[in-house]
Amino acid sequence: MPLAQRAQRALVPIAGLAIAALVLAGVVLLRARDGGAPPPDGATLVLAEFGNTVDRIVTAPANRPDERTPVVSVEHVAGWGINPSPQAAGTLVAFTVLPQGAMPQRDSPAELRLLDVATGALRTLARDADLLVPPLFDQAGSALVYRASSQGGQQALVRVELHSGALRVLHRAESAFGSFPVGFAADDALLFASLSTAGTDLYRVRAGEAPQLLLHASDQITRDWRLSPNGRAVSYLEPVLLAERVVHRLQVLELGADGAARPATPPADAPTSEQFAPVWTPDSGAVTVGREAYPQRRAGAVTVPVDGSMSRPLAPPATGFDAPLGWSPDGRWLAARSFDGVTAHEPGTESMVLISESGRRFAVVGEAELIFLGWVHRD
Amino acid sequence: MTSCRGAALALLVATLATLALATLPGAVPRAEACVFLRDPHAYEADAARSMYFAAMDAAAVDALFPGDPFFGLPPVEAGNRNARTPGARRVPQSLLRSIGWVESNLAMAARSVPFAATGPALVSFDCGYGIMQVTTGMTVPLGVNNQPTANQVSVATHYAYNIARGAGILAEKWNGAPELRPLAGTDTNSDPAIIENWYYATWSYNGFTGPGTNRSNHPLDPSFARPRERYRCDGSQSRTRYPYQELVWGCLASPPSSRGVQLWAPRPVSLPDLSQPAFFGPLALANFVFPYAAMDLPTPQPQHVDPTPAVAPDLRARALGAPAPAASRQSVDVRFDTPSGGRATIEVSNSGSGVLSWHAVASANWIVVDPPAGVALGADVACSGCARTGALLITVNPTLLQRAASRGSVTITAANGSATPVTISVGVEGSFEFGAPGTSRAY
Repeated sequence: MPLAQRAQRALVPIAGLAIAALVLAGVVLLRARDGGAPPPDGATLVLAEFGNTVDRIVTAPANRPDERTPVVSVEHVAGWGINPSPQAAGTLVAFTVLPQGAMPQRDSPAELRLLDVATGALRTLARDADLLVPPLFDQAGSALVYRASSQGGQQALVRVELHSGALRVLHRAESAFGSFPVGFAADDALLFASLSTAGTDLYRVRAGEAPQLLLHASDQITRDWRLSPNGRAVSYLEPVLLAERVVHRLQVLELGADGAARPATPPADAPTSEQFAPVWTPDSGAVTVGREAYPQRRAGAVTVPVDGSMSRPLAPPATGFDAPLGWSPDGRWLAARSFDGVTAHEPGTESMVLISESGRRFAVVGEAELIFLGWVHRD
Repeated sequence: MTSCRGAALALLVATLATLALATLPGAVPRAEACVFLRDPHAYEADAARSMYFAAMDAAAVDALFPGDPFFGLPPVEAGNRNARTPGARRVPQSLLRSIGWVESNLAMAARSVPFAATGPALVSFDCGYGIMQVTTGMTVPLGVNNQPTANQVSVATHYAYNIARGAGILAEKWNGAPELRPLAGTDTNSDPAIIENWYYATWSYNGFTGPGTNRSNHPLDPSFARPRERYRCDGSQSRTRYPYQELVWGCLASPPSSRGVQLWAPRPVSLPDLSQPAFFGPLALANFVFPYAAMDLPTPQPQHVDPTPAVAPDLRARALGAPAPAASRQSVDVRFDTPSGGRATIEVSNSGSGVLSWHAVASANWIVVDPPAGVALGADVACSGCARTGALLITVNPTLLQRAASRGSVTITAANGSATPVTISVGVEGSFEFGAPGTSRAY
């Protein structure tokens, strides 16, 4: 056999092996991108599967959201599910719930509960919480703030120390409207938004001190207030009139060391359409906000850096739009509610999705409503 | 020795009686005093709710209790602010169905009571009674001697009265505009025939509360997720996410099912498009000021109208009948030295037709009746293996007896209809003597 021919024959299996190796590598790579293997950082989704009288809290790896591990079941008044804090703290999640036996009404005193998803330990921290107002963790994850209302329209923002269970009222006021906790700033002062006939105002308050007005945010009802993870900025949505439609637009405030709040400069390419549910990236460098699809058929969420640099669009749904819920601690996964309609007025059917930083989308399937409790990091 | 044994027995009986009274099924602590200290009993009709729907159709056009100042439907006003005039006595029947579902799952009795049967009435902790969860006028007894009135008994026990009262309250909420509430339908002359124009009235049925309050129903309240898909009314979504009126609208469009059958035909109704200034503007915070004059809304489009319901000519006869109370015994003698010591049971029956709502009133405070009100079914009322009679337990509280031998009575009145009341003589013979510390009487 000539040398060339022998070499050619020898190359065939080598080439075959090389191709197989390439295919294998490609498959592995693709699976990783598709989420076929657990992410190295162990990002874990915590959600509740709504049930008419029992919500089932489960965890699931980000890349396999259907592989759910039950943590605990929470019984509640028929029809009224848990209302969670928008973010977890370590392995802790918190929520308000109307326990069985309570009046099936939105103004019934709710229980404030704390769950450690690592151990399944469930504690009741208070029994006078407002069901509709989600509790919030402080920066260190050592305290919560919740709202309690009493007859006569008096509302209190109450801080709970998780270690001791000690309660302390940070702010109390009588109002025909309401105050909503925004979060604890870097200096541990509580920020809260207050509604009145004048619109929405942002305040900060420390225990034992009078609240300090930071900003008149709007003459309207603002919503979806979120404090950045570093506690130095706040995002929210403000309704504005645009082309004969009312649309909600992202606003960002920088909180100065002097306690002042200053509007941040939005990037030139920031979206101008109706926006939904802004959430901060874990590095506090950007806000991801959903966009209405109208007049198009679909629109993905977009990440808007607060330094004014270019926005980064995320993978859109096949039809419809997304409303973010929260980034995983490693910044690789965004949980979002996805709608197959094109406007907020006709949003269509809602589902939960995970959107990877690399542009993939994974459906989180549920027969009933899925309630996002946050991300926890499990090594 | 005999006296000593008698005293011990009496003490035991007294203790047991006190404990029993404290633990009767109806003795549930409530947020505030309801009209009944113990839950009355009610009749739960068929699973398809056909009788309830027939009653709703009739109530919607004031064909159930026409002319009745309490259960009749008031004229429903029409027209815009400053030009509002009384109109027809009419509310959308589809709205009554949906509100009934959101309030109670269209149930008159507690969940433990099967369909076509009687049992404890559905009573919420805030004194909401029955299908329409009527709370107005149900927190304190309004009758003589601090007793419930016939109207209160009827609302709590009889579905037709409960539905009629709920329809009346809804109409009153509508008529609250413009003096007390905003109106919807500025571009349609606030025509009450248009279901969408009942947006504020429906909101008010649960409480016209502002954004940020703990019982807010304001659609722009930051507590409610935005956007949010429509409420499907199938038990797969938490109510926590929705204002009350959106629950009602959702159930109208996506009817609930019973035993696999939708309870009514889907009725799509439009919510205000909050991206439109015409709807968003009136709902602004600055406008949420009594009497809410700047909150008037145009009609959400497309608009929808209920067809005029066809009310069967015999509906009143079937729903109300001609009930007449009767009792299994005219006289009871209660003894403490028997196994059923201190108690006697009589059966209240209905010698007439329809559902009898009866009310039992004792002549003395040592006579305790449970339930204080209930129902008894005429032979014409569907009753699948259930008891047509109502069991009335008469218990003597010995600690309140004035004398060892006493006599009183229990009067059973028909809350609905004009039948003659039945009086039952109640005697007690306490042939014992004792003195026990802690009791209010010594014999």
